[in-house]
Amino acid sequence: MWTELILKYCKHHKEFVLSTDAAEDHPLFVRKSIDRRLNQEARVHILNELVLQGAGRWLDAGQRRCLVLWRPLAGWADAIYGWARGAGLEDSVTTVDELSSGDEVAGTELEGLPRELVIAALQELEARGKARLFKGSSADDEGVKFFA
Amino acid sequence: MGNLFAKHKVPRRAITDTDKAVLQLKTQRRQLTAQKTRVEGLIAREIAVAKELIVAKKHERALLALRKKRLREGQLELIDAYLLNVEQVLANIEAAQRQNRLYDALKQGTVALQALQKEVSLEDVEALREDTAAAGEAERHVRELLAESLSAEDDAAALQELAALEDAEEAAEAARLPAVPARPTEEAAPAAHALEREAIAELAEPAQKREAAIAPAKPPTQRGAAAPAARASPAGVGAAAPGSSTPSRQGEETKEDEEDDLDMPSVPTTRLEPSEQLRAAAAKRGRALAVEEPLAA
Repeated sequence: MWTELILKYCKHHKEFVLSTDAAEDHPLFVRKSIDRRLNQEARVHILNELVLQGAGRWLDAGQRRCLVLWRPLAGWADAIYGWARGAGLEDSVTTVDELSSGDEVAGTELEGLPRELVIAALQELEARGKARLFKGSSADDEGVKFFA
Repeated sequence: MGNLFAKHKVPRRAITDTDKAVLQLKTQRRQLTAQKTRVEGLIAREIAVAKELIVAKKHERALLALRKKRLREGQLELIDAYLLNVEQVLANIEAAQRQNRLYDALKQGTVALQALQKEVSLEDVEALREDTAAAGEAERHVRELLAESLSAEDDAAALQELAALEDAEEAAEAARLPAVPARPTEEAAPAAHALEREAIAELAEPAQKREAAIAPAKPPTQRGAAAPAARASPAGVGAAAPGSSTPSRQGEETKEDEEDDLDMPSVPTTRLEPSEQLRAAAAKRGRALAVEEPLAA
C-alpha cells in the first residue's frame, strides 16, 4: 500500500529522490493535521520494500537517499535514446549534464531529471550497446556517445 | 555487406579522440556558462552594494564597488567571446564529421553501384539482346506460317459465313421494321388515334357530297369569274397550315366552316380532287402525330 502511494505521489509531482532523513518534512511521511510523522526506520523500511520491488534504488550505502523509479529504468533509457535520435545525435557526444539541463532538452520529459537517474538509464543503454559513457581528462564532465 | 558493416562496427563503437575533444569543448562550454551566471550574480550584487553605499553616503566605497562591477562586466564580455568561440569550434567539428560520414556513405554507394554493374557484363547484355532478336524472329516466322494456313483453308469459309450473317441480319432488320404503308394516312395514324380517324371519316363524308356539288360548278370556276380569286389564293394556301381555320374566299361561303378548312386548298389547285386533298391533309396530320408518338403501334 505504501509503495503504491509513493509511486503515485512521485509520478504526480515528478519527484525522483526521497530522503529518509527524519528532519525532512516530506508531505509523504508527515501528516501535519494530526502531527504524526514516520521516523527514519519506518521510512527506510518502506523504501526498502520499494527497492525490493524493483521500483527504487538506494543512492548511498547509508540508505539516506532513494531513487524512486515510477517509470522503469528501461523506460527512461528509451526516452533518452529516443530524444538523442530525434536530435540527430547518433555517433556524437554530449555531456551527461546536457541530458537533464541543457538547452536542447528544455521542454522535454528529460528536463530536470536527477543526474543519478540519467546515469543509471545511460548504463542501461550501455548494456544494450546503444550508448557509451566515457570520461576525457579528469577535469572533464562525464560524456556519453550514442550509437545508431 | 554484413562483413562490411561488422568491420565498421568496431571502430564506430570506440571513443575517438574527436569524441574526447568534443567532450572537452562541451565541458568548457558548461563551465563558461556557469561562470557567466556567477559573474552576472556578482554584477548584480556590486550594483546593490553601490546603491547601499550611496545611501550611506560612503562615496569612495561606492565608487570601488562600481569599479568592481566594471571589471566583472569586462569579464563577462570575455566569457561571451569564449563561449562563441567554443560554439563555433563545436559547430565546425560537427560539420566536418557530417561531411566525413556523407563522404563514406557516398563512397559505399558508389562501390555498391559498381558491384551491381559488374554483375551484368556488357557481353552478356549483347548476347541477351541477340537472343531476344532471334526469338522474336522465330516467333514472327511461326506467326506467318500460321497466318498462311489460315488464309488458304479458312478464309473462304469465313467470308461465306460473314455473308450469311449479313443476310440474316438484313432479313431480321426488315422483319423488325413495319411494312411501308401504301397510303400513309390510314396506316401511319396508329390505332391510338381513333378519334382522329373518326374526324377524318366525318370530314370525308361531306367532302364526297361536295364533290358531287362542285363538279358542275367547277367548269365556270376554272374558266371565268372565280379565276382571279384562284390566282390570288395559292399564296394564302401555302402559308396556311392544313387544318388552320383560314376562311375561304372562293365564293363557297355556303359550306359550313369546318368544310371551308378542307376544301379551301381544293379550289386553287384545280388538278387535285377534293377527296385527294383531304387525304393529303389528313396524312400530314397523321404524320405529325406519328412523329409525336413514333411507332406507338
